[in-house]
Amino acid sequence: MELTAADLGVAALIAALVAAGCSVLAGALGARSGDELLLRAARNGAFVVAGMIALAAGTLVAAFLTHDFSLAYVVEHSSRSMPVQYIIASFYSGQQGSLLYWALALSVFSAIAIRATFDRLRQMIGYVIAVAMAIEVFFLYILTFVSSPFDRMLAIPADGRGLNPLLYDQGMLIHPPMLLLGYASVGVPYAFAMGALLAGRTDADWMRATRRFALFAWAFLGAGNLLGAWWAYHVLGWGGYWGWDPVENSAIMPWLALTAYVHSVMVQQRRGMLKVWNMALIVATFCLAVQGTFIVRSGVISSVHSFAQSTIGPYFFAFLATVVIGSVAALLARLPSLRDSEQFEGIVSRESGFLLNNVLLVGIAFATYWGTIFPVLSEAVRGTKATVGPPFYRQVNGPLLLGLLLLMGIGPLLPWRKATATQLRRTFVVPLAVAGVATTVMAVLGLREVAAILALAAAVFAAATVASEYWRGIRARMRSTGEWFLPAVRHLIARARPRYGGYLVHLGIAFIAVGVVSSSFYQQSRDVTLPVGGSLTIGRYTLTYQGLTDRTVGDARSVTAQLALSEDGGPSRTVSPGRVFFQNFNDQPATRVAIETERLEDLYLVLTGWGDDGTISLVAIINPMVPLIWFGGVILLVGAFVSLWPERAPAIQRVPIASRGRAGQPLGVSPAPSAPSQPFG
Amino acid sequence: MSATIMPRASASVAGSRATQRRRPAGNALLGLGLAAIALLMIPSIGRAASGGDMPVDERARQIAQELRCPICEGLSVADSPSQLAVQMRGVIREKLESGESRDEIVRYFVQRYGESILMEPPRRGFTTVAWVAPYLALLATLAFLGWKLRRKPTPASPPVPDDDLAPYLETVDETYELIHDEAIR
Repeated sequence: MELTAADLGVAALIAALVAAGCSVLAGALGARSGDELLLRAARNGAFVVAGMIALAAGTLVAAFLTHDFSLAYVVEHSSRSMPVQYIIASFYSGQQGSLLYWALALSVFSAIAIRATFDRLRQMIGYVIAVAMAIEVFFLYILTFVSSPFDRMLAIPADGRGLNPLLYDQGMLIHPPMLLLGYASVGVPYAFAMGALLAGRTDADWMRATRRFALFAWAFLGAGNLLGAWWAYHVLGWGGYWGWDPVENSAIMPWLALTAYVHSVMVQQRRGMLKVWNMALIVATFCLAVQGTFIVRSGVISSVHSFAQSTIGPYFFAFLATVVIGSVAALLARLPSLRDSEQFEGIVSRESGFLLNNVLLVGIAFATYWGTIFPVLSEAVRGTKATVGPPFYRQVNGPLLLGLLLLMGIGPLLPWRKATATQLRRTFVVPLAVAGVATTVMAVLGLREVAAILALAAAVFAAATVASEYWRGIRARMRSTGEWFLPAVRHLIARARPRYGGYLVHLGIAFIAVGVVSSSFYQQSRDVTLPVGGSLTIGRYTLTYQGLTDRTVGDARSVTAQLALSEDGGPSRTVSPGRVFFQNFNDQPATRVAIETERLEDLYLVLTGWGDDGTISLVAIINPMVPLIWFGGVILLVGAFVSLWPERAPAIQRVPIASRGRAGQPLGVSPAPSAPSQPFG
Repeated sequence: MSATIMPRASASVAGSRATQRRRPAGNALLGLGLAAIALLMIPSIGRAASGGDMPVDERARQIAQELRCPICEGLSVADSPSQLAVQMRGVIREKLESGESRDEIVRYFVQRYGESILMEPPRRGFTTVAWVAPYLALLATLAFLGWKLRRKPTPASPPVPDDDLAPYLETVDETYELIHDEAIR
C-alpha cells in the first residue's frame, strides 16, 4: 500500500501524542524523585514532541502546495487558482490547521525554554515539562481523534472550494498567525508558574527565566490585535477598526491580563510582593488565551470571525475547567509559601502605581468579559437576548482607559518605596508643563469635548514622561562618560533594554491613544445616493461620481465606482471604492474600501450599493489621526523587541558606592567596562 | 555641594520615628482609588446633552448608531454597509423629516425587532446590572486592597527616605535596575 501524506501526518501526530504523554509522566516522576535520567527523558520527550508536530505541519503545508485534494482540509480551504501566499495562509484559516499551528508554536517555545533553563531551574523543571506537555497532550488528542486536519475525502474532487473572500487580504496573511502565536506562547510562562508552584519554589526565578517569553507573547498578542484592527479597517468597510465584537474581545482580554502581569512581576522581582496575584494573573492570562483560541475557531459565539463551526466545544470547556481547577488547587496548596516578603510603604510610590495599573487593566478585562457574556446571561435569566455593543464598552471602558493613560504618565515618574515632595516636584514639572501647553493649544484650536481634551492631554503627558525619562538617562551618561548624544542614547538603551524598551512601548500607546480618541470623537460621516455627475462635499474634500465599471478577472467579479476627488477645489484625482464577488461565495461580496490618507487623516470611502437607474450609494467618512494608530503600533512593537532582545551589553563595573563622585548619579555608566558580568549578591 | 551618603543600616535610626508618623497606607490608597473613579466618571456624565436643533443628517446618524444592524454581527445601522442597514437609515430619515422624535423612532424599531436591536442594554430593569457590575467590581477590589493594606502592621525596618536620603536611595534604585537588567539577560 502506498504511503500518503495523510498517513504520514497522522503517524507524526500520534507519535507526538505518545511522546507528550511519556514526557508528562517522566517529568512529574523525575521532579518528585530528583532522578536525573527521568528529567532528561522528559526533556528529550519535549524535543520529540516539537519535532513530530513540525513534521505533521510540514506534511500539511506540502499537501496544500501540491493540491492534494484527498485531504478534506485542503479541499475546504484552498483551490488551484489561488496565489501561493494565500495557499500557505489556508493552513491556519480553519479550525484544524489553527489548532495544529497552536500546538506547534507551544511545542517549539516549550522546547526552547526547557533547553535554556534545564540546568538553572533543575528543582522545578520536571514539573514545568509535565505541565507544558500536558497542554500538548490535550491539543494533540483533539488533533488526532476529534478534529484532524488529515481527514480524507471519500471521493477526490478536481478542485478545492477556495478561501473565504474576507480572508483574501494581505492583513490576513499575518493577523491570525501572530495572534495564535501570542495565544500559544502564553503557555510557556504558565507552565513555568505552575512548575514553580508544584515544586514549591515560589521566588522570582521562574519569572526571570520566562520574562522573554511573557514579553514575546505580549508582543505577538499586541501585534495580532493591531493587525486585526488594521484588517477590519481596510477590509470590513464600516469605517472603524475596533467593534468590540466577541472575538475581538476575547483577543484583547488575554493581552490586557498579560499587560497587567508584565507590570506586576516587576513589583515581585523588586520588592517581593504580589506573589499570589502574579500567579493568579498568569493563570487568568492562560485561560483567556485558551478561551480566545477556542472562541475564534469554534463559532460558539456569533461574530464576523465565525469562519468555522465545530464540535470541539465540550472538549475545550473540559480543558478550561481542568486548568482553572488544577491551577487554583495548586495555588491554594502553596499559599503559605507565597507570603510576601515585604510590605507597602508609601501611597505615592512606584508599587502603588503598578497596583493601580493592575486594578485598572484587570477592571477593563473584567468589564469586557462581562459585556461579552452578558447577552448569554440575559437570555438565561429572562429569556430575552440583550445586545451589548460598542456604546457600552465606550462608556464603561472609556473612563478606565483614560485612567490607565494618566497612570502611564505618572507611574514611571514615581520612585520605589515612597516618594518625597522634592522628588515629585523635580520629576513632574516638565511633563506636566508639556501637558498643560498641549491642553491650552487644544482649547485654542477649538476643541470643546472635555473627555477628548482630557484623554489627549493624558496622552501628551505620557509621551512627555517617556521623553523626560530618556533625557534624564542620556544626560547622566553624557555627563559621566563625556559621550555625545547619539552614542549616549545607544548605550543607555543597551544598558537597560527592558526599561527603555518599555518606555518606547508607552510612547507607542500614547500615539495609539491619540488616534483612537481623535477618530472616536471627531469622525465625520456622510451617507449619500449619487447620480452620474452628482457630487458630495465632506470636510475639505469634494467627490464627483463619474461612472461604474464591472469587470471579471479569474474567479472574481469586481464592481468599482470611479469618483473624482478634489481637495479645497484643487486638481482632482480618481478614487475607486468597490465590491468583489468571488465564485463559490457569491452571497458574500467583499468590500474594497478606498482610503486616502492626507495630513494624518483618512478619507474612507465605501460603495454600499448601486441601482438600475445608474445611481450609487456611497458612505464617505473622515477619520482623523487614524494613521497614528498604525504608527504607534509599530513603535510599540519596536519597543517590545528592544525590551526582549537578548543582546549582551557591557558588564556593570563594580565600584564601591562611596568612591563615586556625585550622589544621585546612576552607577554603571562608566566608560570602560571590565570583564563579563559578575553575579551580584 | 555634596550630598551625604549614608550606609543603609545607619539610616534605620530614623526609621522608628518615621513609622509612627506614617498613616495607614490602606485608607489613603482607598481614598485615592475612589477619587480616581469619581474623576473617571466625569466624561460619561455629559453624554446625554445632545439632540435638539442639530441637522437631520446628524440626528439620523446618532439614532442609527444606537441600533444594531439585524443581519450583521455587531455592527450598528450607522456603520453597516449592508442593504438592510441602508434601508433602515432611510426609514430613520423619513421618520425624522415627518417630525417623529428620537424616542418614537427607537420604540418603533424595538417593537419590530425586539430589545436586542438596541446597541446597548437599556439602563432600567434587569439590564441595569450590565452597567453597574463592572464599577461595583472595581470598587470592591479597591476596598479589598485598602482593607488588606491597612490591616498589616508595617515593619519598621526600611526607613522612610528623608529628603537628605533621597539622592542616595535613588542611586540604589538606579543601580538596582542596572544589576537587575544584567541578571535577567
